[in-house]
Amino acid sequence: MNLNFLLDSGLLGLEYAMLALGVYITFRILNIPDLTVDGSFTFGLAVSAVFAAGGHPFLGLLMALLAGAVAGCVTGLLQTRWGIHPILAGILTMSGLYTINITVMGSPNISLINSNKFFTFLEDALTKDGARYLTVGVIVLLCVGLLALFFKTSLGLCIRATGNNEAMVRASSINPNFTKMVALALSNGLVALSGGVLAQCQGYADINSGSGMIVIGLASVIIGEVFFGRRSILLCLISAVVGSVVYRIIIALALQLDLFDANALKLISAVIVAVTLAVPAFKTRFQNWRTRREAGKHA
Amino acid sequence: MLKITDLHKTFLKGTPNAHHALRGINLTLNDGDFVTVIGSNGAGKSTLFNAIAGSFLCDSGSIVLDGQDITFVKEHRRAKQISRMFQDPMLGTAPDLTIQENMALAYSKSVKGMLSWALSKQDAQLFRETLAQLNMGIEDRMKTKMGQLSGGQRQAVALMMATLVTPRLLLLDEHTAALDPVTAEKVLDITRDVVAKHSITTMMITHNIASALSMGNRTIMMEQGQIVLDLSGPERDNLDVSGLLELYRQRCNRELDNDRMLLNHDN
Repeated sequence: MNLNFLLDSGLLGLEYAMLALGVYITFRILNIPDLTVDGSFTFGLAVSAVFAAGGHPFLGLLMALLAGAVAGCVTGLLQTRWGIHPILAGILTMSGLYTINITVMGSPNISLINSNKFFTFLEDALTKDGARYLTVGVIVLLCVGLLALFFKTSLGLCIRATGNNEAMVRASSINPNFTKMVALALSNGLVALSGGVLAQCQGYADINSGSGMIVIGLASVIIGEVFFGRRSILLCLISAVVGSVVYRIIIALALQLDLFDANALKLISAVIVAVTLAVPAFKTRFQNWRTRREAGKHA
Repeated sequence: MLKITDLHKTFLKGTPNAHHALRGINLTLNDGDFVTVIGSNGAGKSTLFNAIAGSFLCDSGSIVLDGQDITFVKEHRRAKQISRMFQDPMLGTAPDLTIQENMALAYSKSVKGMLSWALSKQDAQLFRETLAQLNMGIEDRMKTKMGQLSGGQRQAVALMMATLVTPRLLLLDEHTAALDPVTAEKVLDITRDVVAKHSITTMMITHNIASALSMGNRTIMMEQGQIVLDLSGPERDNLDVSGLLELYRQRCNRELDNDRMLLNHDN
């Protein structure tokens, strides 16, 4: 068996790591499963591809980040100012973004085969794979490092408290609507950056790349928590990255061993997420069942 | 320092369920006043606190704090001057953050910038020293998650958080009602100390008539959205629990019908 696929899926996992980080921020810190992700991922992918095709790969990544942040702000506004249910707000933005994305791209897909990518400048010194590994690795490290620092600031702490006890944030004289907006912008910025990195690494952008991203992000976060638990913020961020890599390796292994068809991917991801999220409920039921049985014995 | 003029609030206005919760409240607090607030359930005590803190806007009337009209100021902005505590220990703290992070959050009210570190070494030291005043050993558990503390401990920490940056006005909404009698007494003692130490202007809702009379320098009684009794000075000093209940009977033409108050009557 050729083990190169492990390296490939590891790289893919790093490309998707920012997605996992973004989902972690909304799902675990803000306590809102934000469905904007499916749209903002493609938004980043589209923006990055268009800029790369125009000869600006680095600017493309930056603009992808900003584009995602704007998408996050839209969802944030819908949630806070317009009072729309958080899940519906995400769905609305995601749905609307489809039109924006296809407008940005100009066609359902863009090829970047002949364009410079953000890692091209290193390809001569390293190999193509080496260049991608190094640059993507640096981007992931930067994101984790900056996020870990950010969550140690007052604003970062307020964001963490917002998902925990909104009234308390208000009592600390901070507007929770503001912290929600910042968190959503940050989260979707990261998700879009992930899309942007992926587009240039794989050398093409497709309008349908975003579908199911929220599930992949959730799966990564949850798998990471299996390894690290939920302790400090830094560990949680690292665990999201590791979860993203492990998720890709699991999928690649399963495909390699012909455990299932590539088309079954989404269903299997969904099942992984559903089952993992159900564990606490199952645990309680099992314990109740055992208590009842014990009580029955002694009766 | 706090001046409330003819404050009115009707909930569900224009519907058959309209409820006139505040009916012309007039109240002036002086600097350093410690006012206990009593009244039966539904009298409008908590509604008055919500109005002062800015949970909703009032229909008419005005609220002036330190010469500044805050009638239409948003809740989180008022929070710079006004600290609150609730009956439910869950409301005042964030369970998944550590104790020192909770303190840091309360401390962010001070002039700190949004992007400055939430928890510097000096801050952590300050928080430890502040919590050490409680004599509950909490200062040795600064990195414990808040949710792991008991209700009484959480409420004690919440009190220190509410006063960490000395507020102009402290609103205590039955903050000991969910605690057992011993812990409640302890939290009340801490309240007395903290308020006296920083001479914070304070309003405290309580259902315990005895502590309403023993704490603070002034007692107001609310009934059906109005302040029906405002006691201070010798008149208040010479009053005992039964005297106060008698006064209530005269003013409102009925018994103070709160079962919790009746239970507290004897002690």
